[in-house]
Amino acid sequence: MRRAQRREPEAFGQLYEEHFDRIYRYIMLRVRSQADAEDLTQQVFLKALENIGSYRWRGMPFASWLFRIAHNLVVDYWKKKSREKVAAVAPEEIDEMAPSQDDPAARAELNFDMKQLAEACEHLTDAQREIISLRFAGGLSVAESAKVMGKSEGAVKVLQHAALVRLRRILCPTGEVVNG
Amino acid sequence: MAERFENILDECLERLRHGDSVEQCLARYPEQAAELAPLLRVAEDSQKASSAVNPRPEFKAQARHKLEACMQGGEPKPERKKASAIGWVPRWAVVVASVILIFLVAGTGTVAASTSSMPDDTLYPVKLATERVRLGLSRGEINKARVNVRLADRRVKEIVYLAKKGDSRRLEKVLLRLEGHINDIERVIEANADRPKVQEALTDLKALLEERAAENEAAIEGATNNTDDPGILRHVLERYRQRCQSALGSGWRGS
Repeated sequence: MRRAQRREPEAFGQLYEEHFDRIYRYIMLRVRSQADAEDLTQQVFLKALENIGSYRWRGMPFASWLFRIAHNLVVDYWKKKSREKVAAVAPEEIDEMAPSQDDPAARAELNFDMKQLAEACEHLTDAQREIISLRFAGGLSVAESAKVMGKSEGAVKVLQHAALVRLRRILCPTGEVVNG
Repeated sequence: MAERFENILDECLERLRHGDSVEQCLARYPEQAAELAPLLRVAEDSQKASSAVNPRPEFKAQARHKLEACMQGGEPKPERKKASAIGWVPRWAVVVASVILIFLVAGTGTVAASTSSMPDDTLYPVKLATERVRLGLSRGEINKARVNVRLADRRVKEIVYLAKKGDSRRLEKVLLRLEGHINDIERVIEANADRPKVQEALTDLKALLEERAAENEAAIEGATNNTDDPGILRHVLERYRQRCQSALGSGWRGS
């Protein structure tokens, strides 16, 4: 981390490789548009580079710091969108959320894809949507997610439980067990 | 009981994240298996659905290239490279600030000049460095947080000044610093939330932040009439509110 803070390309490159895909997936689930997700992901890392000198551990893991930047950009993005009164997501953008690999087996394994997950997340509260995005798209732990959201770990566990219960009701309205 | 289930659920989710199967998790908690099973399967599928979406390799390479270009010259400013232990403040300014602080003790008015300087003034780096020294000299986390509350006031004044001048480039930088102060305060509040001995001091700190936040919000709102670009101040106001609410724990303000 110190080396990255000194802007050593190799060290920052390592952080980039470690977090890039996770940040992209998190943003993709939140904004549901490939072009916007790419733009915002790039902005996250540029902002991180700009501010990495001021990053201090103090109980805030680096992943949480980075996802907080991503969260703020996503919040600003939706505020800007609502000001512009642009339709939430164009249908062709949603199609960009299909699994990236062409492997039919991988597609068949999925009971629902990112597109369906994103649509289901629309019916969650902001905080529930955030925890699902951080945990399952961003791959953060509860402790890391708690730091991003500014909540206690206990509160995040409660939120996570409620979000999964609701998500399950949306994705499996008849109560059938997914996967099983 | 309810909390216990949430802990069990979380433990199982962590196990899934580290490669255990749903069945292995259920076998560990047979009593909760009926309630756990559908939630774990939704979680597992959500994880799978997300990880099936990857950034385009050409985009990833392009983004990395841009980042490397920034690292080698472009956007990060030269003085940032010199900054080290004191973050975004250049070393020379720290030295000057330390000397000025000594003079302050001796009663000189030089610090006053830098204290009232604005981001486009020559003495502004000295002002920032003086603040870092002041923070460094404050004893205890909560005292540091109280200093951060006061420094946030200064950042708000600077933002209002820059908005009036239409200097959005500097304004964005000051906004990041403002958020940095509030984040530092939030970390102190979080880190001390469970320490009974400091609850009174923590309550005072929150009251101070709340009071200052109300006044600063009014100042930013009032300044929207004195700028050609009121949108930028509304943007500042939203971000400032969000940070303060998060620090005060008055509820998560999502998108």
